[in-house]
Order: sequence, then structure tokens, then C-alpha cells
Amino acid sequence: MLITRKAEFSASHVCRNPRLSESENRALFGAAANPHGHGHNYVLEVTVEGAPDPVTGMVLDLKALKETLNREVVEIYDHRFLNREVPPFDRVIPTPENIAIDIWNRLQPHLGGPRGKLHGVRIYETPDLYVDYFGDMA
Amino acid sequence: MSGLIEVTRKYRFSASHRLHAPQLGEAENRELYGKCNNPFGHGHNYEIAVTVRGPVEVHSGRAVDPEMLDELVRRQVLEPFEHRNLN
Repeated sequence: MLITRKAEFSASHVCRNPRLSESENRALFGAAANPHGHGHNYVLEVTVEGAPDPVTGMVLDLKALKETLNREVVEIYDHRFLNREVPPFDRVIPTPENIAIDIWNRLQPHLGGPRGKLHGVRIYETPDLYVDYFGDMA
Repeated sequence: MSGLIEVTRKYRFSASHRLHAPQLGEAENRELYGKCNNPFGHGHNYEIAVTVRGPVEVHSGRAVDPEMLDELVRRQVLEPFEHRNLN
């Protein structure tokens, strides 16, 4: 069974590769390369998998999941300039692809048990653009 | 290597259509498709989600160039479908 919990945070970022020139960055990232940054209201959907416990009827404690999302992601990302304040984005470009991978890496150690194993991370950068990551499976 | 990423972008278009199987009679079409068989057609606002899967390139941090994807979908889907009678 899959269970998905949503969370939201707002953050600013810049998409630039410091090894490329200004015109190369503009060509690659468009308006997202503006060095002063810009922001998004991100929506995060975290999906866990497992079987319901026969006693509680729950796959996992959803309140605990909410607390984990808040502690490991929202408190770290919310109202931050990702490139300057949230490693690894001082050296990794904070595209939605890399944000999904980073959130997976932050949550995976806390959602590895037989009940409530992390299944997937979906991050919406806008209502019309989202990225899914299911871990390092080939 | 951090595995594969799926990137999804949503697009919208509006079009009209009529569901009608020419091999079937009028009554059979009416029975099968109901209101969708109205001979004058009808329209919808369609929403499509296009998903691309791939590894993340280190130099761009991306699995797909979104402008290239937009251009491809615009040329191959939105321009042919937008405000058309599909039949």
C-alpha cells in the first residue's frame, strides 16, 4: 500500500553553473539564471510503502511522518535562499531534479523500516512542473 | 550516480470532437456513446501531462531541457490539437 503526505515550503534559488559564462548560463537556464534569484512555492509529496499493522490499521504513524517532513525538510528549506543557505546547493545547482534527490537523501534514513519505507519523492516547482525520484534504482 | 529522475510538465488545449463509429448504426452509436454522439459535436478543455525519464546531467542539474520539451510538445501536439474539431 502507498501513502502520500504533502508539505509546502517557499524558497528562492538561482540556476547557474559557475563554470559557464553569463551568456551560456542564460542560454541554458533562461530567466532562472538571474543572479539575484527568484522564488517558488514548492509542494512536496512524499510517498511511503508498507502493509497496514493488523492492530493499529496504520502503515505508519502519519503524525510522526508529518513531524519528520517538517524537521528534515520544511524547517531547513522554508524561506531560505537555497544556493546560499542550504547545502549542498552551494555547489549543486538547485534544479527541481537535484532538490528531489536531496530531499530523498534527507528522508531516507528516517523512512527505512519494514513499515513506512520511503517509496518516492515528488516536488512541484510550479503547478505545471514536477519531478519524481524513486531512489538509486537502475 | 543517483539514479533516474522523472520530469513531468503539464499542458492544456481545447478541442471539439464527436464519438461515432461509422460501422455502427445511429441507434447503436447513441446507445454506446450517449451524449458524446451528438452529431454537432462538443468540446473539452484537455490537460496532458508529459513525463520524461533520464539521469541528471551534472553540468546543468537537469534531466531534460524544459524549453526543448515545451517546443516539442507545442509543435507536435498543441499546434495540431488547439481549437480544432478533432474529427
